[in-house]
Amino acid sequence: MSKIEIKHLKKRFKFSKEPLFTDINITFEENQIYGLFGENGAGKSTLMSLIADYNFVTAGEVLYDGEPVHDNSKALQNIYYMSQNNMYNKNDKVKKIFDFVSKLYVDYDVELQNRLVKKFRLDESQKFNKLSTGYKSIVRIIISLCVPCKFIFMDEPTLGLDARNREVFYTSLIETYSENPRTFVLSTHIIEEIDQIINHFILLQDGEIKMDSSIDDISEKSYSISGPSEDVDKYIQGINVLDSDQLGRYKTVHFMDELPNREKPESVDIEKMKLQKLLIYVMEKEGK
Amino acid sequence: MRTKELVKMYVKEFLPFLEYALIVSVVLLLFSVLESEQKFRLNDFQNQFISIPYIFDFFALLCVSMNHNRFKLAIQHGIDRKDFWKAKLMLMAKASLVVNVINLVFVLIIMKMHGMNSLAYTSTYFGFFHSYFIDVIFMFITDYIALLLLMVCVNCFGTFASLFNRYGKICFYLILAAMYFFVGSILAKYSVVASFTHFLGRIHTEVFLNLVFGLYENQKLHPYSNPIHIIISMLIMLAIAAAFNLLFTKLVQVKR
Amino acid sequence: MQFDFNSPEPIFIQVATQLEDAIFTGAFQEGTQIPSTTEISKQFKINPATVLKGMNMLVDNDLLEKRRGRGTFVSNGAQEAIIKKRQEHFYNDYILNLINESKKLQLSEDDILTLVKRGYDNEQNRN
Repeated sequence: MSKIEIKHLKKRFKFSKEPLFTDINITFEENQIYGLFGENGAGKSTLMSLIADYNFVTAGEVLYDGEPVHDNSKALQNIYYMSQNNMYNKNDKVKKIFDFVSKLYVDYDVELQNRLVKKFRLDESQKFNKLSTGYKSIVRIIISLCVPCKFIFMDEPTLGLDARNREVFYTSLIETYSENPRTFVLSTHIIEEIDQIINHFILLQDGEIKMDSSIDDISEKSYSISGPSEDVDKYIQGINVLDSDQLGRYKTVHFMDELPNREKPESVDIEKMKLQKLLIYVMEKEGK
Repeated sequence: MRTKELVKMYVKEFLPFLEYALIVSVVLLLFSVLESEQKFRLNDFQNQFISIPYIFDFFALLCVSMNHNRFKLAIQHGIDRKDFWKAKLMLMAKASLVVNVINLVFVLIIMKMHGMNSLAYTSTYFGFFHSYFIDVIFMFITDYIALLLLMVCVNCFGTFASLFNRYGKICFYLILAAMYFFVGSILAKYSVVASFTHFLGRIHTEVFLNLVFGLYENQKLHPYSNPIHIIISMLIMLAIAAAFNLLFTKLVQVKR
Repeated sequence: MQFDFNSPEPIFIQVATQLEDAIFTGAFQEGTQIPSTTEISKQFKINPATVLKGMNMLVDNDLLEKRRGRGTFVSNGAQEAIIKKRQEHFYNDYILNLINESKKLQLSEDDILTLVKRGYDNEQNRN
């Protein structure tokens, strides 16, 4: 199985006092869906552009199957970066752009492309620069889902998409991932929509990787407990609590840990802590 | 092959520049005729004709110098910088071919209109082989390599400049302009030969000029110069320029 | 099928339970094909690997069988196997809870047996 390893990655832009990253270490495995989260400006786009060899690292390595990606034809053919920038000739019609890309990639999935064009209701005869922002994203999305690459990095893919097209995107992503497993790395700061789709979660904050776990691991270790406050307190005694809300006698606590060994009282409800909430706590805690 | 498809796209983007060159040529021709207050003077028209090949050259160079979008198109599809460099060279080889075929037509017309002394190549080298057909072929080859060399150099400069931010670029172009004026002013004061003499000393000049340009001092013995020398010199310069181009291309990054 | 994304129960277990329920109630008949992982994951917007994990639990227990190139089918005898399994768990799931609850409500063993008899008599009377 192929993998992309990032080791001790450091990036500092020229004329910038502070480096953007100092020591990033992550591994991307094959056939997983990663969610890459971070605030605006955290460096998600930069990280992806470094992986795709658009830009160069200041220090550290980006390895594909153990070889650096820089000028590595084999690696770059298997890595696709859907950036927010437009890389195409603006005056070309969409159909022409699709034809061009399909010729550049031997196993480009033309059938899927045609299905997606219909599902998204994209007008292929339009010139690319005449499309709305949302539809420009859709062109990029369609290409990203059809290229025969093992690792596909999508930078805020749903930006500018209306609700219907977001739905189309997610179902199309799930469908193609199921029929043709490969790795997708989605960067976003809207979690609720994709927290069930991803199976691995990465948080980039303040130039570091603050979280890097599988969703299963997180699920087993993050809970929200509610009930009468005395029962709740008794139940979770000894556990380090992230946050708690109280309304009268009804208390909810959120924590990251395994459930306590004690028997759960009837009056107390256990729920999985929403990833969204967990994210906010982690970001706030680390930000201090 | 991926690189070939990329080159096809680059060539498609190049073709409109030929249209522009044609339009500009036609416009200039019309102006040359309309400008003169007296009746239509064939001379003006014929004189303007000479500039047409240079107009095509100019637009070809212009196209080749605007490079960053080509790079983005390549890197977006996982084509590494070395293959992109190869694609650039292939584009320039094809573009130079197309332009020179077009220019050949005009040059032949110009030669008929004005005789041998009107163009740089024809006055120096034409006639060396004592066969019209072979002379034309060598003229074509020389012009082809000359334009290709210019293209690679221009692309080199463009690539190198793109490595800098706005201020760096301004600095670079200022230095380039200064060098251009410096060389220009020396050439204005002395002729080309004298300039070389100035720097190289009399004896070496002859040998140098012969070796590199195929020029002969003694016009009586050698009425025509040997184009093969300059072809080889240019090929060597081409290889060096291509190498520098690869060096700079490897350093290019995508800008936001 | 329905999923509770807030429940602490892992999704793949919920998938397994829901599939089992569907076989148990006869919604998925024995010998027929069940929806693919793709269809299920698309419909509920869950990661296909998670759905597959849940489905594989049933495959491992011989309740489902994968037929190459055709899909996943409900095994023959699956419904009976589920009934048997749930019969075995009935004691833990219901009886022990019943006894626990009855203790809290201070009902004796005789009280419980009386109540159970009453329940069955009512059933009889309705029929």
